[in-house]
Amino acid sequence: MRILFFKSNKFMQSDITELLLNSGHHLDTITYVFQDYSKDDFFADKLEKRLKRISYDIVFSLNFYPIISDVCYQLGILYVSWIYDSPAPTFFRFARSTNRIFLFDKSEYMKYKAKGHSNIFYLPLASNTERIERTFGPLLSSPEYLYNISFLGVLYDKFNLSVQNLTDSQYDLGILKGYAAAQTQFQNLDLLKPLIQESGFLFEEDSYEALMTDLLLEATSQERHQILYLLSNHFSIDLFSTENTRSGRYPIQYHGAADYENEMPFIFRQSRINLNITLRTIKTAIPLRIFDIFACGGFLITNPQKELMDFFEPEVDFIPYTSHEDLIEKCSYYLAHEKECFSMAQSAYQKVKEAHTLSIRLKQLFEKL
Amino acid sequence: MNLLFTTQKLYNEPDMIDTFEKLGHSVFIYEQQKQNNRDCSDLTETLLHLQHTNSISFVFSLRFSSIVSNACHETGIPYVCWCTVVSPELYQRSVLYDTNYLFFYDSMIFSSLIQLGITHGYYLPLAAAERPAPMTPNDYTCDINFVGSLYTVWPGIGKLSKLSPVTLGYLDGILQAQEMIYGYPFLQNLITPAILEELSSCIPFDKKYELKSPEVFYTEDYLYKILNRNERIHILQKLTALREEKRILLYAPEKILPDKINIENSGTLISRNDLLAIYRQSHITLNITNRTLYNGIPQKVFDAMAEGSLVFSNYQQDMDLFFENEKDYICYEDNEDLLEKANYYLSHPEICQKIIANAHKKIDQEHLYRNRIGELMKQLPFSR
Repeated sequence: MRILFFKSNKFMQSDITELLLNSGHHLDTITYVFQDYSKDDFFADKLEKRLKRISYDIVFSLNFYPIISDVCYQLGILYVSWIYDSPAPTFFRFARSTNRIFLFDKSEYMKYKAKGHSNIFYLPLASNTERIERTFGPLLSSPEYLYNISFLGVLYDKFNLSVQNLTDSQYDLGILKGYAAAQTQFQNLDLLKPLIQESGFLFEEDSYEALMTDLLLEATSQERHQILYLLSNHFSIDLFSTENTRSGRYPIQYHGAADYENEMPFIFRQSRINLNITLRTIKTAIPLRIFDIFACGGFLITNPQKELMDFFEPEVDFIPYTSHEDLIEKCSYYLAHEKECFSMAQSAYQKVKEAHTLSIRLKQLFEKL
Repeated sequence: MNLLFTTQKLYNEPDMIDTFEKLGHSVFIYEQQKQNNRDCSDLTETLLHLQHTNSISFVFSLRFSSIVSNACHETGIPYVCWCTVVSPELYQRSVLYDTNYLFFYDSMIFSSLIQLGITHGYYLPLAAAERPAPMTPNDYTCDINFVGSLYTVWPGIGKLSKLSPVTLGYLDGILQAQEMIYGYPFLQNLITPAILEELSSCIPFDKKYELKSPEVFYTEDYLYKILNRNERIHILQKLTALREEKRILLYAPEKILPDKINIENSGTLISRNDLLAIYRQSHITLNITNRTLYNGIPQKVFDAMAEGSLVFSNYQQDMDLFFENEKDYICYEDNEDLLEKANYYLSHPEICQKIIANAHKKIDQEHLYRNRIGELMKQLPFSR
């Protein structure tokens, strides 16, 4: 196929373009950074001219851009988007017959399917095992460990703008942080919605989603700190993150952010335990991190993310924790049982190689077109 | 067996002494005076004397006492305590002595004390005292009663106001969330190191709690009390809607009722008999469990069932062990649900009567003091 690939995101972008080229597709790229996702005449014009000048079979992007969707619709060209953010903030104005939208979150997909959208599909994420194997070679033997327990991820320490817009009052801000804190105690129950509805906070309809997102990010922040703090009382913890703010108050080894392609794979492989605490805005989907950990031969302990159970088996491929106490016990146990850890890492690695490589995923995507 | 019953002027002591005697045991009484809790010398002397003369098998009380625990530890006589009344002394080191045989009526507190390391711990729910006369149909003079404190006045309630606005907001936020959730107390999990630091600067940690963590101290002694207040006020505000058509009896110690509770407050009850009479006269007895009783079945439930009143209660996990919702009592899920169900059951007296009769039968057969003391004696390794 002749593909015009829209470049704007970081993760998976270069992996995907590389794989598409290797599969024999003709690939051109167009790069842009949107300020306003809703209206941008300059870009719309630029894209239209490009698409009229050269004939493409599809336009492809990671995440969804309404303006691309509009232009493609006008010109009758298929627009393929693979959404891997939850929630997808730019996912609006998407009901066009030329769109082929792939969602990585099954519960989101089911929601749209129930509404009758036949152009929306479910496509979980995947990892580029080909690139990873170029880095290390295949996973043969138990690696040399540099770290005990690693956590790689953003801590979301800044309580976001939409909340600051809602209220000036420190007390009100405190209440919202309290709501987020309470939500950390529950995996499947949504406490935020009833709390906000009964709270008496005034906000506009269209800022409700943004408020919920911010509360979930705050819940994620608190949860990650809670867990790292608790674990740091028992074990040595290595944190790879853009921030070290509140975590500066408790004893962990802080390393700064890790580069996705050049550093992250080594961290995953060289940690005895890789911890995943899923971003709270991702309801059921498997985050990219988990596929990457498996693809790098890492051993995973994670919150029990629902869709994981569709493809992987607890205690065979990874270990889920059910509470903070449970997490501490499991970390203690598995730090002392390296063989079991490696056996699970191998099992997950095999499964990813067989069914969850980016190569396989892209094939699945093209089959739906 | 011979036992020394140490009394602390508790409501259930006379009936319990009676029960032991009816079961064939000989009860010696020791009245505890209020003392410095390290000085157990008088009791120790008494025990040594009794050991020689009457061969006491164990000492018994209905509330955990450090003095008794210390005396028993010194003399090697077992201290059997059915902890029917909350005592802060439960969190002192003397609770860990291996001469203690401790019975708890809350399954969560029971397991947390086991984890703390007590040697002989058992679960034993509360019960009703035996009624001499068989139950006859009640003469109901009121539709719903609520007897209890609204927690609007207690020492320390003002201390939290010294906290920063953002922390006050945070605590209010988590309290609002906990109010919606029954069966899973999580406030203690949300006291971060930063919040703990701020709390400690306003309210010094009470050192008498040798075995309580600071997080648990601040949540149990302050936050859950505020939650009790909020919850009870919200429920009574809701029930005010029934005031026109239904007779509601409220017995709360508060001199001034909070806003929007337009129910007449009859004040505090004088005696336990008065209390039981209130249950007897009420179609419905409302139970709103103290939030620091995490799973346990409160005394009120057994008493009201025994007196022939329909029990309305929030969800308490231990209830599931013995009673069935809608068969023996009514469990309400939130305030709306409480109001709806109150209206429904008050309009269907025949259904009420069935449930009341079921509950009463169960109490009579399985939930009297003699059932519990029998169970307790069976569990004690030295009573065989």
